[in-house]
Amino acid sequence: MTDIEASMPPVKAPATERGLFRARYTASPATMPVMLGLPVLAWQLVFFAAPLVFLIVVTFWKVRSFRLEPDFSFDNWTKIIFSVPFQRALAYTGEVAVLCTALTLIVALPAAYTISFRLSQKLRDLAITFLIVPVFSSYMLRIYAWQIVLSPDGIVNSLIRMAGLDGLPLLGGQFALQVGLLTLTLPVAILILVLAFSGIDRNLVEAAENLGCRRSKVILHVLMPSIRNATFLAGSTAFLMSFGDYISPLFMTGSKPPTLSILIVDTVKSGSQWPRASVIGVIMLAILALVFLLANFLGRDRKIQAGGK
Amino acid sequence: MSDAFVTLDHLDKRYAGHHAVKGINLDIKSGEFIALMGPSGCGKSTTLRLLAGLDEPTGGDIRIGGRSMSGIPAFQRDTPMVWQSLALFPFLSVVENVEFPLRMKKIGKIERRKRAMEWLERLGLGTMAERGISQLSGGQRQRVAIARSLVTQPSILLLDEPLSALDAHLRVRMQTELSRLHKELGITFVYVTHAQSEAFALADRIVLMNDGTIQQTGRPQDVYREPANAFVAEFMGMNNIVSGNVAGHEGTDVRIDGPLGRFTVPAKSSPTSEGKVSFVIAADRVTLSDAAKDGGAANRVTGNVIGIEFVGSTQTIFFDVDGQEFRVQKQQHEIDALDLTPGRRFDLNWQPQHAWLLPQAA
Repeated sequence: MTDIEASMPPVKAPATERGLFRARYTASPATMPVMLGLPVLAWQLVFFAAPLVFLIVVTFWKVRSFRLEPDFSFDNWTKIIFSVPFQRALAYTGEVAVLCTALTLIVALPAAYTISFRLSQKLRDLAITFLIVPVFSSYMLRIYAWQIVLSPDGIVNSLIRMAGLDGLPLLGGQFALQVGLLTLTLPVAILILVLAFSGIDRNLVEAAENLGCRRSKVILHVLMPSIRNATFLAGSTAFLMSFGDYISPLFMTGSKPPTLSILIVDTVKSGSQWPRASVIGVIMLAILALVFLLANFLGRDRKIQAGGK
Repeated sequence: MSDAFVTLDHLDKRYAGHHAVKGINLDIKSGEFIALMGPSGCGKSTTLRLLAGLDEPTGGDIRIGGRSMSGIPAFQRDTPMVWQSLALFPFLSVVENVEFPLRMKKIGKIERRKRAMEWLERLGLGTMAERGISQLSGGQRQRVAIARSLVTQPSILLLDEPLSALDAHLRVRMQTELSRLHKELGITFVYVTHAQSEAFALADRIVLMNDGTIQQTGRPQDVYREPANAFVAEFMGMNNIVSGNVAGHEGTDVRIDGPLGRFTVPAKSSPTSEGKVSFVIAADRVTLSDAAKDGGAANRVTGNVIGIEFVGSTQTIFFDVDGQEFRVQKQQHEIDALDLTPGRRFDLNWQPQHAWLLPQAA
């Protein structure tokens, strides 16, 4: 509509036509948000809600001679939930994701603090650039790079052997898996925390010192409380990414032991068990939703909630 | 020197490429309410930051209570400050904010809650203790910031333009409150502001700064009526500055010849002045009369109306006097009868005793 108006000669337009435009404009305020929101809503329905509903529906279907058949049976659910491989994979995936979340925060918090408070403006911009670039580069490619670095004949082992020591089995264990996952989670977590640190009013730091807070304790008393919510966000994001990741378990540990994502693929491959794979998928989504809700609950600003009635 | 509680001794601060404070000297008495004034960038806020230890001076010394502050970090100084942005901790409740300095001093939970609540109640915030900062109004936040600064019972309070973010109505109320607190506590207040009204309403003494140096110190009304130089005269109010050469002395008066005419000015500030001098005449001390009628009163210039500016019931009329701008301030009712169309000619008269000879020529 603005295009039409802009292309209209401003003075020569007949009064009636202008009046018409105005009439259409004045009718729109109520309908405008709906119209603008519609594409988003449609997108969400088609590409998110519908597949999700389908995913849940499929869990009740059956597979007969490699073909899906609609049904309503809890068979798939009981089979998966009581299967030992699933239970092991669930425990293992949870363990991996929790460890990855902890490692991410342990590395990201000091890193983000250093970038935000200890670097010069120039170095800070450079550091942020180096954090953003990997987010937009292929994760797969970065994992391949790690394989080259960590493989038995890779760069690290070559250096170790040159020093006259035995090579280490770097690839194929929790260490390699965490290296791969941190490649994924660290840039995002550090960026979230750098943004949060940068948002802190520097006057707060000075005010704390002015009120008797040692410089070394400002981090504890001012900075950490200030980025509480961002810390929960960074943590839950790291959990989310590592819990559902497929590439690192596949390439860094060779799927042994399997994580839930690996299990999904295996389940599909072995006898087209789409319904059972869907059960695992739905359980994973439920866990992620729970983790996110928990983080939201913990990160909620109680100060605002308390008297906000 | 003897009864000075705070002493700035050749205090100097250089930043990279900027000399913010140029070796200033100042004594502040215990219990005094001092206003540091000046245009932005004059060094007043830097001086306050040096007092609080947030910046290290590059020269000179600060003594508080006779003790040199050199090398003492901010957190050990007990020079609490009220910030323009208030700098309240958004992640703490109202009472937790006030408790913060006590917590840093490792005072027990029950004791610090008690002392914080006493201050909140004193400032009328007793019922807000558990609220979040974001739920308070501007005036309430201001009070929390003041309570947080005073809860440790300091002997000096620093205030950095604390009222500039408030609306006019609230500002006046907070001024009253600050004034009351100052009287009740009897501690030293150092108050940075660029607003003359605040300095006049609050301060025992003002320190006027410009370009890193102190221009004048004194009681507000004295600085207003008897400025030390042209900068102070310009900053403090609606003043017209006239320059000329000393033509002779008549008792305690001095006769000045200048491009605008011949004037008689009392020579209180510099009785033996010679050569080039300047005097100021406040805009509200000038009377207007029709240029055609009047004869030769001694202190008089003639000018054309340029325009009028309205501020409430007060009006400022701008005149062009031989190329120099003259400002005259009048109440609305005083000029109702006058025709002030731009271009009209008027005589601008004043009583000789209302002129003030500047100790330093402009």
